[in-house]
Parts: sequence; structure tokens; C-alpha cells
Amino acid sequence: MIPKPELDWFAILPELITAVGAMVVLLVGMGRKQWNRVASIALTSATLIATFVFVLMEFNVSRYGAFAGLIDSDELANAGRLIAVISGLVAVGLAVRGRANDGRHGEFHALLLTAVCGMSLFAASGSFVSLFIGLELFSISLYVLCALDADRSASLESGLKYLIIGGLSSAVLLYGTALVYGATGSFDLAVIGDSDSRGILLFAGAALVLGGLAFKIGAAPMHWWTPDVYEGAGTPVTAFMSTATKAVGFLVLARVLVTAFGAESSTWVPIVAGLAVASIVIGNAGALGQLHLKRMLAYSSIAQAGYLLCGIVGWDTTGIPALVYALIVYTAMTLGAFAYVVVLEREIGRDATFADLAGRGWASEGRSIGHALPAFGLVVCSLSLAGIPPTAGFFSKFGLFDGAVESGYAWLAVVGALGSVVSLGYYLRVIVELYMREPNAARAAAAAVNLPAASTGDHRWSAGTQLPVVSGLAVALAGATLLLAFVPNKVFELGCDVKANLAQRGDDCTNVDAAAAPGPVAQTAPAAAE
Amino acid sequence: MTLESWIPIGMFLLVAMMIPTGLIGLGFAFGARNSRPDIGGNRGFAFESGVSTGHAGRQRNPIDFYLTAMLFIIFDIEMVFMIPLGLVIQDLGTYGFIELLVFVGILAVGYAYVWGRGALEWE
Repeated sequence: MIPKPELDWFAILPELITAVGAMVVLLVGMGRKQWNRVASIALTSATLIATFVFVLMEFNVSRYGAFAGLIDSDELANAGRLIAVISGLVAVGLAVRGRANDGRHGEFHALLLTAVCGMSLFAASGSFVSLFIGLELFSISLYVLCALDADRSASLESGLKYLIIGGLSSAVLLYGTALVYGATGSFDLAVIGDSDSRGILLFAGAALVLGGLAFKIGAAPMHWWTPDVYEGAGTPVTAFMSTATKAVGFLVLARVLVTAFGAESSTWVPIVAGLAVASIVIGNAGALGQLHLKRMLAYSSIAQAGYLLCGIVGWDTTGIPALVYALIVYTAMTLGAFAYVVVLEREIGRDATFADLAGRGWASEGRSIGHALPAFGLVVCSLSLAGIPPTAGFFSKFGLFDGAVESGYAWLAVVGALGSVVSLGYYLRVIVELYMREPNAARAAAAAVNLPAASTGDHRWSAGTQLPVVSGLAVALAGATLLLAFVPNKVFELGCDVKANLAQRGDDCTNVDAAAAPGPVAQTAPAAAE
Repeated sequence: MTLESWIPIGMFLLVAMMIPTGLIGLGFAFGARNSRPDIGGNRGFAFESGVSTGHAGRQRNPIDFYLTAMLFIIFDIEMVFMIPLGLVIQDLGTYGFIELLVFVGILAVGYAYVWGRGALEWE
């Protein structure tokens, strides 16, 4: 009789729920009738909500070493799961009626669920084996999701590019894992952290693991796939992968670096700081010249990855709590921005440029408040992405830079602050277009000429379709961005638990008060984010 | 870490490089090239999964072969996983049997999807 390992099913219940849901949705969504479409949306939402409720109920329960050390289900994992589930729900909402013509609703929803399943396994992995399986599960789902609009060549291009880059990054990560295993004799993150093996093999392995994960979070210099993939994929898919992939990628990066390679932090912290600088510079410089809204947001997400990396640089002080808070804020504001892009695309029936934004901020004849309010949501999200005080983006950046400063990387905070100033160049352009330009069909058409041909013809949305659920999501996510500004302490505490779990050295969050201080009072404090 | 410990890796690299260079080199040394000019033309082309490669690139290729081949490989590999499981299923007991059923169940869902979507129909 082979002894059965200790199985803690509750540790992987979120993954089980989403996996079963994915299989059911795949079968139900095979039909092309109206009820099949409605049922696949309803079942997907129900699965995600069930996962959400379970994760929330069990949020503080840590289950380490479940399944023979493969799963470490803790607050960090649950934070990643929650973000993935919320992004998935928003993507379902944004894609409502988007697949009415091609009959691929079953595939879309099932792949979305498998991606969420893979992400939550990825976030909860306690070993490089489960980490890799989770990574592949959500990556393969995303390759297909990117290419799902098979009648648009931009979508196919996006899927192919993501497949090749994703394969490369998986290979790099896998090779790094092999080297780490060679150096320490274990895949288990905690065991690797405890081993006293030092030397070139472990260093090379850690560097390759860092490189492989940097592809996934889209940090420069592993960023070049981002603009093309984000532009070509359907916007709900872009919204999902730019938030969920990035969030779980950062959380797992933090877990791997701190738990497995915590002892080598003097080596990797400068490297991560270098990645942060490269991302901030390249992302902001790249975004300045973009006409295409999704490309601008793609470059902006590279810059945001740079700011988020500052949190990992400051891991030994207040960086990790700040990172968790910043990831939640990043998810809300990025989803909000993409939601308005979907609103716009559905209205004009092709990819949106800056010129298409002109005059949409005002309610005038023919344009009710229902049109103007989502546009104001985009304003809120842009200001938050730029880090302007009343929004949550300010506090998240403040926390991230504060963590870097506390860990002795004041120059990094300076670079980040300068990058934020540059970023105003394109975030404020959104507001200028929305409120200070007259709508001009000729100008919009001229700008659209510059789009790649694939983005203009055969667009999935037929022009003029407008859905309350999409506009509502754009407004709700902007509201969440504002609301998160008032609860930083609450979320910082959550981040503290994550950090304490990561370092496994009890409550080591004494410094957090300084970072948690940015309530509305601290707006007059030296504004690092400005 | 001493230098000696790298010897196995070096040997591995050596063997790994010998295989492709050996295969290409042997074919180059002993393979007949244009010994019969009348069929020499086709020998120069790559063998591409039973599909003729001797025509211009811009034409439609039937996808049935690739689709079937891909599906075959996927299900084939899954079956291979069952061989080691079959060897120890007695020792694993009921739990192992349930695991096997779950595995086959997931496969069946995939099969039902492939069938239902019409991917198995040869046109």
C-alpha cells in the first residue's frame, strides 16, 4: 500500500471550483442558441462569485504545505485569487454580447475560468512545480483568448506573439527552476530558502527565475511583447490579462524572491531596482507618443510595473504591504480605463484613438449623462494612474516609493516621481481630449487611418451598440478607485499579514504606521508621488 | 563548487551536441544526393507530415490532417499517463481508483467538446 499524502482539499478549493466550472461552461457553451450564451455567462459568473465568497470567508486561514508541500494557501495567495476573480468577473461583464456573431462564447468563458484557475494555483504555489503548472495553465488559456477573434488578423498576431514570448519566458523560468533544484535539491520554496547552498548555480537559477517572471509582469527589458499583444487582443481579454496576470505575477515574484531567495536579497534587490528604473523610463517614454488608446495603456502598464517593482525593492521594510495595496488599486484603475475603452469601441465600431475621445466628456444633445459619466470614470482612472492626490493611485504610489526610501533606495523614488511627472503628459491628454476639444469626425477618421488596417475593419463590435452593464462597470470601477483612497489602512494591514507570512518571522510590520499614514491628512506631506 | 562537479554537465552537453551534428553529418556523408536525377527533385524537399511541399506557398492547405494529428497526440499522451498508474493501482487502493476516474472524466469532457464541435469530421 502506497501511503496517501496529507490532502487538504480546502487549500485548493478555489481552483477546484473554477476547474469544474470551466468544464461545465465548455460543454454548455457548445451550443449556439440564445440560452447557451446566457447560460455560459450565468454559470461563469456564478462560478467566479462562488470562488470569491469562499476565498473571502477563508481569507485569513493559512494552509501551508498542503498536498505534500505543493500548495501554500495564505493571505498572499488569497489576495491574488481575489484579484484574478474580480478581473475575470469584469471581463465577463465587458464581453457581454461581444460574441453574439461568432459562437465562441463557450470557449471564451471556459478559457477565462481556466485562466483564473491557473492564476489562483500560481498564487498559492509553495513549490516550483505547482508554480509552473499554474503558470502554464493560465498562459495557455490566455494565448487562445488573445487569438479568439480569429477573423481579425490583429488578434491572431497578438495570440501568436504572446504564444512565442510566453513559451520563451516559460523556458527561461523552467531552466532557472532546474538550476535552483541542482543547487539545493528541492523545488519547495521554503526548503530552498532554508538551504545554505550558495554559489553561482543558485545565483544563475534565481536570475533566470526572476527573468521568466519579469516577462509575465511585463517589466522592461522583457516588455516588448506588451503593446502588440494588448493592442491586438479583444479589449475584455486585454483588461483581464493586464490586471490579473500582472497582479498574481507580482505576488508570486514577491513570494519566490522573499521565501526562496530571501538570503540573497543583497544581490537581487539592486537588479529589481534596475528593472524598475528601466520599466519606468521605457513605459513612460513609450506611452508619450501613442495615438492608439490601448497601446497607450499598454505602455502605461509597463510604467506601472516599474512603480510596483519599487514595492519589491522595499520588501524588508514596508514594501510588501504597499505592493498588495498598490496591486488592488492598480487592478481597479486599469480595469476602469479599459472598461471605458470598451464603451468607446462599442460606440464607434473600431479601435479607439485619442481623437475619438474628443468632446465625449460633456453631456449635450444626443449624449445623455449616461454617456458623460463613464467618460468621467476614465478621467478618475487616468488621474489615479498618474498618481494625483484625491485618488487611490496617489496613496499606492506613496506607499511604494516610501518602501523604497525606507530600504535605502531614495534615488529610485526620485526616478519614480520624475516618471510620474512625465506620465502626466499622456494621462492629462485624455482629459484635454475629453473636455477641451470639439468632437470632430474628420479628425477622428484621419487618426483612425493611422491605425493598422486590421484594427479598423471587421471589428467585433458593431458600431452604436451600447450596454448599461459596460458603462456601469466603467463608472463602478472609477468609484472603486476613489473609494480605495479612503481605506489604505485596512488594506495595508492585510498586506502586513502577507508580509509576515512571507518572511515567517511573526509581526515585523512595525514600520507600517509610517506608510499607512497617508489618509486624506497626509496630502500635504512631502508628496513623493507627485 | 569545484570544477569537477561540472564534468557530468559537460558530458551531457557533449552528447547533446553530438546527436544533431551526428545525424546531419552522417546523412551528409552517406546519403545519396541526386544519384537519380529523375526523382532527385523531390528528395530535396523536406518531409512535411504527408503533405506535398512541392508547390507554391500561397495556396490553401487542408487542415484536417494537422487537427487530427494534434488531437491524437493529446489523447495519446493522456493514455500514456495511465500506464504507470495501472502498474500501481492495486497499491493505491480506492483513492487511486477514484483519481483515475476523475482523470478519465476530465478527458471525457475534452472528448465530448472535440466531438461536439465537429473537429473529428473529415471533410
